[in-house]
Amino acid sequence: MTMFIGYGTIALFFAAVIVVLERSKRQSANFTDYAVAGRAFGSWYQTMSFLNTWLPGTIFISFAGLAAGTGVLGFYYLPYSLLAVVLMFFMAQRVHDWGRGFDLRTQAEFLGMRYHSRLVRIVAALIGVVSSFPWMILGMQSLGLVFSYLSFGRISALAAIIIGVAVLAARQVWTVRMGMRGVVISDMVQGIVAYGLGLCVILGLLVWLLANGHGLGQVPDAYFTIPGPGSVAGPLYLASIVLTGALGGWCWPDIFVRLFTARSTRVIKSSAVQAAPILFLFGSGLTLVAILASSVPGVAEAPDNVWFITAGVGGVGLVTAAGVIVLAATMGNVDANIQAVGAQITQDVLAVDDDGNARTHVAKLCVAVLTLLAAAGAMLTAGGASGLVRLALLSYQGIVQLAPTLLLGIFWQRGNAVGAAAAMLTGFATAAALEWNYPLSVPWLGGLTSGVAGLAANTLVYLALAYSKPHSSGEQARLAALFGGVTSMDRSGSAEGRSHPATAA
Amino acid sequence: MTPTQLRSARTRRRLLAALLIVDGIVTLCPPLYWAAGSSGSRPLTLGYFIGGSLIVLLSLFVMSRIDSAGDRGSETDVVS
Repeated sequence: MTMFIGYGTIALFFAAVIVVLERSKRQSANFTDYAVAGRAFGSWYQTMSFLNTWLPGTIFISFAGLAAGTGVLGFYYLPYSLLAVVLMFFMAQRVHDWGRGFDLRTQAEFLGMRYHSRLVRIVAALIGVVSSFPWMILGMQSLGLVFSYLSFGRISALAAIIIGVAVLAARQVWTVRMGMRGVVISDMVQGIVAYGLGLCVILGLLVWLLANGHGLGQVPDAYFTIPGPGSVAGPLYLASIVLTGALGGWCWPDIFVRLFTARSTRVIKSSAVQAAPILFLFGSGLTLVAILASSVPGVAEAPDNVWFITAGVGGVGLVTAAGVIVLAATMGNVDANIQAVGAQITQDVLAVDDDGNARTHVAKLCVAVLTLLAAAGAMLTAGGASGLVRLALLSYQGIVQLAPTLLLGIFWQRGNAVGAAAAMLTGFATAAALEWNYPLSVPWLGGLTSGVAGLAANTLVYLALAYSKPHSSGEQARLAALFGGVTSMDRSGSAEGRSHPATAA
Repeated sequence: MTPTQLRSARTRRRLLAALLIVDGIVTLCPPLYWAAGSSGSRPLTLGYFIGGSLIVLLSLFVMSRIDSAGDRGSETDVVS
């Protein structure tokens, strides 16, 4: 009966998402419609879509587990998430205006346009695809814990992972058919459940923990230490992981493309202001619950299970709600990732140029193939994915290497294509080599992570080539028009319907 | 754009940049978290993360107000 309640509720939630998707179904008019939902969404859709992509289901598992197992260090995603939202606020104008002005649909296409370079576009696209794929597999596997708990001990861990992979793969049928529009609309439903219901459960658990003798006094002293001078991780470790999170977030293709789905710059800025307090309340509440719950029996032995163990105090109903919340967060993240990477492969790696149905068909095929490959990878590594986890962590240090090219490219005219490509490749190689040898942090760099060490090398190469190889006069004129065009748009809102000065150049 | 408007736009840009720098210092400056972490005080350690994040959150609200003020100013200029 308990398993029926757990799995039955999952089925109901899944059905609700599908009903909403089917009711809002509309044939994609063109590739822009399929890849960035026609740039049509308002601020609340943007907010929920950003949150559903930014906070995956594993926030309740690995991130909560980090807090339950180590203490306040588990808060680190809170400052980096808010810093990333601040960056969104700053990037909004230029990225949205260039995106609309040049009908850009992917991050790699954006960089290709900024640097006027096919090489930059392909390097950025390949780094994005290669770095994202391990996370698709891990995302699919992350529902194993949900289906294991909701079976209430009736199925094995391996069987639970396989069921989770099957559910997520089935969900992608609608991602293939509806593209970004389906992703954003379902993010609203999933976001309300994951972060609305999730926040209610968090507050309830917080009250229960404090009222039942699990206060801060019961948490070990070691949980309140931050790596500083003399620590194993090194004095610069915390700054490194916060910086990597804040900059790296915008390097993921699925996060960046959020800036293209909004109706206007104002909508992006409003969604930043709406998302930030939700992130703050949700992140601080969940991390506090995990830290306080470290004194709950069973959590110390399995910190990653803290969300479900603590929800166990509310019986079958609360464990089921906890499972649906994780499912909702995971679905939003996995489908956004697969959709964005599928569009990027079509647009930037395969370079399918035919603007019309052909490109949309290829994109649908790419999303379908990616889903099958990720599902197959998830099944094959279901028994022991430690190598995959290491690859995924390595990929995070790799993807952040897009940051100098992306951020300096948005705000500074001087950067050039040669510098951008060389910087990305140098940073990626440096980060990969260091990460393989120093997975936690680099001791002889004061605890810098491999990603930040790679970023330093990356930025140096970018700046050196920016100063040593000046733009040609034609490129200088193109960039002046590009940057100047945006400045002149500052006071007139959207650039839609007007020819962009840089297009002529 | 008149010099007055330019000055005002420049002021806005400077304010926004200053707030961004404050956010960067609060969340990334190692001596701050070394001090909080070595204090041995639980409220201070928790306060570093929650308080620091709160400062970033509040700065975003201020940024939004500054940015909106710029938009309102430009609308008034267009009308006049």
